[in-house]
Parts: sequence; C-alpha cells; structure tokens
Amino acid sequence: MPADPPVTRPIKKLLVANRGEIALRVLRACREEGIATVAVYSEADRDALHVRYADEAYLIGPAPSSESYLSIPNLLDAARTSGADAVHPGYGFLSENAGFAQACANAGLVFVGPPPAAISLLGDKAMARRAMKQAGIPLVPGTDRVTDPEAALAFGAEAGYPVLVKAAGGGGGRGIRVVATPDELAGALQQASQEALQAFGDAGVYLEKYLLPVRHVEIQIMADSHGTVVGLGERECSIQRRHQKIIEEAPSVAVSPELRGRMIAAAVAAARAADYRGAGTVEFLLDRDSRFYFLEVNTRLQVEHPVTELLTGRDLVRDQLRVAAGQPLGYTQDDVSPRGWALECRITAEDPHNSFLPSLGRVRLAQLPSGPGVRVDSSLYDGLEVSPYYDSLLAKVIVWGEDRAQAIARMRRALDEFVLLGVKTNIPFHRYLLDHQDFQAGAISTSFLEGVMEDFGKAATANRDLAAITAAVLAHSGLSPASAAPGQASADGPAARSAWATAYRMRNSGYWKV
Amino acid sequence: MSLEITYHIQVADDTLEVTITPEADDSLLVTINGTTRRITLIPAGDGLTYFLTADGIRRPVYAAADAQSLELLVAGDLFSTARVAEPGPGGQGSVSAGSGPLTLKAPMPGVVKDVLVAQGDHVEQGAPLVVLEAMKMNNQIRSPRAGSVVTLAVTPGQRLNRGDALLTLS
Repeated sequence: MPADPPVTRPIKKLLVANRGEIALRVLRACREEGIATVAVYSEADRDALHVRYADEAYLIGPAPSSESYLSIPNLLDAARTSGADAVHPGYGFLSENAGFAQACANAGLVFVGPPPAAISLLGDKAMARRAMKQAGIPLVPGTDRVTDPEAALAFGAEAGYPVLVKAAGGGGGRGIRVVATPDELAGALQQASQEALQAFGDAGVYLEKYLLPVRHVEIQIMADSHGTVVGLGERECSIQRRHQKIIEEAPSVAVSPELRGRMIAAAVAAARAADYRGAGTVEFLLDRDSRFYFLEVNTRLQVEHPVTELLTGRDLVRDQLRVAAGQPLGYTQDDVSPRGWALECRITAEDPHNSFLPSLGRVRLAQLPSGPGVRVDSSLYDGLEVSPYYDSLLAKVIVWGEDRAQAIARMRRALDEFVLLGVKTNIPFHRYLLDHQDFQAGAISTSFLEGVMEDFGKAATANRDLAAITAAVLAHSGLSPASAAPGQASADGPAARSAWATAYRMRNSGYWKV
Repeated sequence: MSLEITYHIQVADDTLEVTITPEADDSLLVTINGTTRRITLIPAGDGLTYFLTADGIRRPVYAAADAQSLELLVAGDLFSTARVAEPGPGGQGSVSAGSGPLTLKAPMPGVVKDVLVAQGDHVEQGAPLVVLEAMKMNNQIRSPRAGSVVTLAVTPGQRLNRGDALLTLS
C-alpha cells in the first residue's frame, strides 16, 4: 500500500518521449481522452508520423538516440517549452530508467509509469529476484550478482549446464549469454559484463539455470494508487529469435484456467511486493509440467500490449493515463473477461534470407492490411527512410479470432495483404512460421526457431524463381516499372517517369495514405 | 514458328537463366531451372503493380526500379534483381564458385564492433569475419567462401557506410 494518500492530478497536455509506432499509439489515446499532445523527434525523424500527428513537435537532437531520445535534459527542455504536465516514456529508451522518472517528478511532471522506487527495485534483476523470493514467488534457480568466477562455477556445478549469464541492469532480451560448459563460463562472464556495461551502464551480471524446453508466458498487470491490482491474463511469447520476441499470442495453449488463476495471483503478489503502479508485465517461464518460474518484471507498456487489448477489450494506454492522473482503475479482477484468441506478428526491417541482417532504405510503397479482426500499429509511410539509428520494428500486425485457428488464418490473410517496397522485411519468415504444423498445433517453446531456420532457408527458392521470371518478362515485354526518384535519370523514358512522379505525389498528399 | 530468347537475371547472389518463348495467345512459355511454366504479366497502371499468372495461379507482384536494379516483391519476399548480359563467373552459382580476389563490403551502415580475423589468416566458408553493429544488434559478417585475408580495411570502432570495403579475400 502506498504511504501517501492518492492525489488526483488531471493530465491536460502530454509529451511522448519516444518515436515510431509506440509514440503514435500513445498520441492516439491522448486524442481520444481530449489530452493535448507533444511529440519530440531527432533529426532523423523530422518527417515521422508521430511528428505529424501531435499538436506540437520539438526537435531534441541529432539522430543517435544517446543525443536525442535518451537525453533527459533535452526532453525536459521540450516539456518545459511546451508546457506539458505529463510525460509518457513508451517502451525502450528511458521507459525503465528510474532517474528519468525521478527527474520528471522533480520537474513537476506526471510520469506515466511506476514510481521511481519500483523501477529501481525491479530494474535491478538480482534485487528483484530477492524481493520475489521473499514474496513467495517461484524463481528459476539462479544467483545474485556474480563477479567471482569461482562462485559462478560452483553454481554451474550445482544447477547443471547449460546456464545463462544475464545483465543485472538489463531487459528486453539484451545482454544474455548461454554457457554450455564450465570452461566457457569465465570468458562469458567477462564478455557479458562488458556488454552489460556498454548497453545498460551497469557491469553487474548474474546466473540462471537454462530451462529447456520452456515456454515464455507473461502476465499483464495494471495497478492503481487506490490499492487495486488486476491481472489481465497471459500472453505467450515463446517464438523468439536471439531472445527477441517475434510472435506473441493470448491466451496460451499451455495455460489452463486453474494455472492462469495461480499465475495471475503470483503476478499480483509481485506487483504488491514492489508497491507497483501503472501497467507492467510479470514474465514467467513455464515448463512441461506446468510449473512456472519468475523471470523478471518489465516496468513499462510492452511492445505486445495490443494482444491483451484485443483479447480483453481494454485500452491499456487509457488505463495508464487514468492511473497516472491518480484516478481509480475503475474495474476489478472479476470484470476482466477475455474472449477468443489474439495474435501479433512483429514486422521488422530484416532480411530473412541473409542472416536477418538489418535492411535499410527508403520505403517506396506501403500498403497495410485491414479488414475484419485486423489491427496494424505502424510508423510506415511512403517515403520513410529506414535508418540504422533505431531498432528495426516497422509495424505490428495484431489479429483477433474466435479461436486460435481463425486467428492464424486471419494473420496469414493479413500478411498476404501487407505490401512494402523499398526495404526487406521478415514477413516471408512469419508466413513460413504460421504455416508450420508445429506452430499450428501449438507445440512451441523458446527454442522453436532453432529447429526451423534451416528448413526456412530451403523453402525460399520458389519466390526467387518467380522474381526472376517477372524480371525477365518485364525486360522481354518492354514494360517499365516506376523508377526510384522523380527526375532521376532513367532508361524507362519520360512517360514512365511522370507516371511515377504523379503516383508519388498522390500518395504523399495526405499522410494517412499509408 | 516460335522465337526463343534467353535472359540472364541476377537475383540476390545467384544468376538465373530464364528462357522465354512467346505463344500465339499472348502468353509466354518461360523456362527456369528446367521447369517450363505458362506466364502472363499484366500491368495494373500505377507503374508499381503487376498481375503475374503462373500456371493458372494469379498473384500481384510489385516492382520499382532504380539505376542499378529492379526491386520485386513476390508473396511478401523482396528481391533485388538485375538483367545481366552474361552469366557471372562460375555461371549459375553464387560467389562461392568464383575465383580471384573478392572484396567484401558492408551490407549496411554501422559501427565495427569486432574484427575476428587478421591479415594473412586462412578462413573457411561461413567463418565469422567482422561484427558490425546496426539497429542496436551485433551482426556477424561471414565469409562467402574459403580464402586468405589479403587486406583488412577496418578496425574496431570504425563507422561504416553501406558498401564500404571490409576486407579482401584471395
């Protein structure tokens, strides 16, 4: 229970300290709530959708995020200049930075997120483990912070290999190393520690037993300052590549109503133990025998939050805004009534046929899926320059169906509709996964992708042949595809060029044509 | 009487031979990798969209050209293609079949995090050479074939543009 009596502070104008689809997502909720909006942007994002959408927009620095989206002074300057009374951090960047939450509070701004103390406690993964242990929540066997290789070796010998080395200050799957044998352990400790220092400014690492096969199942929680904590059900995020989630769904095929009740109870206990407020996610690993283990708490809105929104009919950003303003959540655990099945695919600018290397370039054509049961949260527009400065997420396609089979069919249909010229995406990989019989049967685990990568590589030649056929027939028929930039020298002749220029202008005359 | 024309199309790292024979009904018989299919391709009029019918199955494909290549989107898969006069060295293979020095270039802009080989090293196909950080991810650049590192053009910490030379293999 919070010590101070809750204070109601209505939010009139909110600054979104983020970019991309999540900035747009938050701005949309503000628009619906009648809250005035302030966007911030780096020099690389001058034309971004979130900049166009907001009531006001402020340049906060050059393209590298360390000088813009991670600059607390620049963000607070923008808040002061605009007269904003609240800040939403989105996900990533400063969203789990207790210093930023505190700096906002010191500047008299409402921080739309948990209190700094909760961020600090849960952000230090080793401290969080201790707190959860005290609260009686089952943990993956592991250690506190480790610096001594001897202590690490002792843990490895006791728990058995493989073990994971994880950054104490980390999250989002970064700074994790798998260690298969004792002789790799000392080197992995050193490397992980160095990586952790670079990525999170904290060299602390700890060890965990690597459970296999295991599912990643997380509980969405929402807590207000009046003592209400609600669990909004689970999401299964077992489909991961290099510890990055690719497909998320709710509910999980592996979670019975009885297990769900126990997992929600554990998540609510975790939130209470940390004196939590706002939206958060308690991540668990679920083993074959339906035993679950606490992994970590993400003290922010998750990338995959729309899965829960489609399943429960709730607007989590709206809930965040209510709670941050000091209002009661307005519903209880009994009011949560999930229905059907929801599925999300993360569409990233990565080349699935070339080791998932980032694909950069200018978007020439973006046609997003729509229709029954389909939601797309995206920052795409024709002409967007996909730059190397930020993460590779371009869009999230989220679908709802009456059951899992319908949700998968809808996603397959939605991805068929997704047209993106100019940058390569992982859409072909998603299509392959959705068609995979093990995925369709729900027989998945966090190591699912390791087993299918090779088959995907073999299956890729059919589309390649069709591309070669199309290129040859275009050359044969003298058909002229549109050239890249109006005015650019082209062998296609003036007619083709002007047709392209016209189409380009038409598509760019209104920014909702995405 | 039919007129058969062969095109050499480069797709990603492969050069494919595509043979086209026009038919009386305006369709084309197209042979690739020993398989012949009946093809029609109809432009939609926006300069980007085409309807490709292959053996009776119709699907939209999307095309955009720049100075060097033609980008084609087929069933969600984006390919960079180019028409070449002659098949590349080694014919229908990729660079792995080539001989002579090969300069590897950065596939994207980024920062060199680590250089895993030294000048003079012999490397096998698939061996990791350079770690390039882009979009917050460390990406391993692997060797497309076996060879010796003749020159090394990068050092850790260096910022690269797409296409900058990384190293040359013998």
